[in-house]
Amino acid sequence: MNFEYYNPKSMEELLNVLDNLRNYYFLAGGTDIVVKMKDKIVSPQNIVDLNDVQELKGISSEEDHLNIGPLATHTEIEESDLVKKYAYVLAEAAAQVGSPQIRNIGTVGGNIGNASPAADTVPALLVLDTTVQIESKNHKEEKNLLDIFKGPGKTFLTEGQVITKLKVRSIKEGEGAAFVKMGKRKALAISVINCAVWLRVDKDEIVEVRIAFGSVAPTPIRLLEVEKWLKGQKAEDDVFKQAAQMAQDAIKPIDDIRSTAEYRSTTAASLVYQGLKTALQRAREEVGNE
Amino acid sequence: MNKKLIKFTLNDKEYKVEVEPQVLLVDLIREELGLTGTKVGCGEGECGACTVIMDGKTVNSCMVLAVTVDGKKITTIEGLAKGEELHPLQKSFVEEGAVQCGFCTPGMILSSKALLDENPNPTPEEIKKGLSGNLCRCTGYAKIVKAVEKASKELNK
Repeated sequence: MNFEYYNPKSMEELLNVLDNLRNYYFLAGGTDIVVKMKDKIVSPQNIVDLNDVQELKGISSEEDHLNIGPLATHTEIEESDLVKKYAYVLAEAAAQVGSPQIRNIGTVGGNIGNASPAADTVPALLVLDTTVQIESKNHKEEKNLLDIFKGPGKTFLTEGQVITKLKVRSIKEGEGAAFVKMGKRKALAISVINCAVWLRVDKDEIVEVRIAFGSVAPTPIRLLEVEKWLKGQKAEDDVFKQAAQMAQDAIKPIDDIRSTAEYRSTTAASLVYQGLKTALQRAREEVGNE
Repeated sequence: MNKKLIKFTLNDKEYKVEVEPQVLLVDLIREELGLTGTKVGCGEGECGACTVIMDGKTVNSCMVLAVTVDGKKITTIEGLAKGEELHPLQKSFVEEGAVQCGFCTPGMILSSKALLDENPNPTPEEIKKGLSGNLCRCTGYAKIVKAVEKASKELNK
């Protein structure tokens, strides 16, 4: 490791630093980048430590969404009363990341920025229709989270840009969501495949639905075709089973170090089925599924 | 190389040190400050041997840059005993045979301490979850879980 270290103390200072810097990596929790630097997988010339930028922290609630600072750790998300109340599926996903030590320091912004196809919080954020606020020195924009992933380890963020806020849609009455993960063991396991489902029902009808997968493609994905098919269908077991089969047919996973394409395909069906069932159950309970 | 001055509390003692930004917390603790109770196992956050408590939360000190602990409060295994008197967790680990080769023990005990500080009466399931970031290749974990239960009773007396 051999880098220059920057630790801006405010958003203004951060954006100024980024404006003049090339060949840098961000340091948030460091659970990924520090290991990659040690193993010489990456050798950045500069490290920009985000941890002193207070504007990037905190979780708050606004009308129909939560504002989540990208520096929120997985533990903060898992334990946040606001997240548990309005975005339980995200707490559920954050609780399954790595180990307590990793969750205590690893951040949701880091989980996004790393752009790992296996990131656990991302499918949960995708089904909550998360918008990402991206800033650079003289520019601020909002993008749907789905549109920022380019490929494994790559986002469409350019130099000078940083994620400054996540806007996560709150779960309301009649809506429910669930996160399901298949890893090699219960703790400290990177997902072999993971899946999140969100739906809104009106009596027995599925009014709206979102399904997201991790680890079945170069980036996290939404299953738009299956979602479209489900809309207007009855929220019942047979429909869920058909949707599960459609999901299995729709994805094109690969063999890699953690699993095989065949296993992922088969598992995808059962994750979608479980996800739909649990989401429905929660939609029929109280708001927030506490 | 540009050294940075950092101030932090380690086991209730104030430290002011100059560190290069590349130095890992575990290396600062072990090499510079000479506290070798914190171990390095895998070096990538899988084993938890390097676990320390930072501002009340456990972290893997092999993945933390020392420069980032400026202003923070760190506890290592050396900070638990009071002089000659062992911490209840240390005592119960010894008594229950939860220490075999001992390499994972400092990390196990610190994860247990962070758990008991937040949740004084954990169930065996909660203990297992609390220790899920620490690997032990000797004990099979049963004795460790028992030791944590015993210490929790002792601490609640």
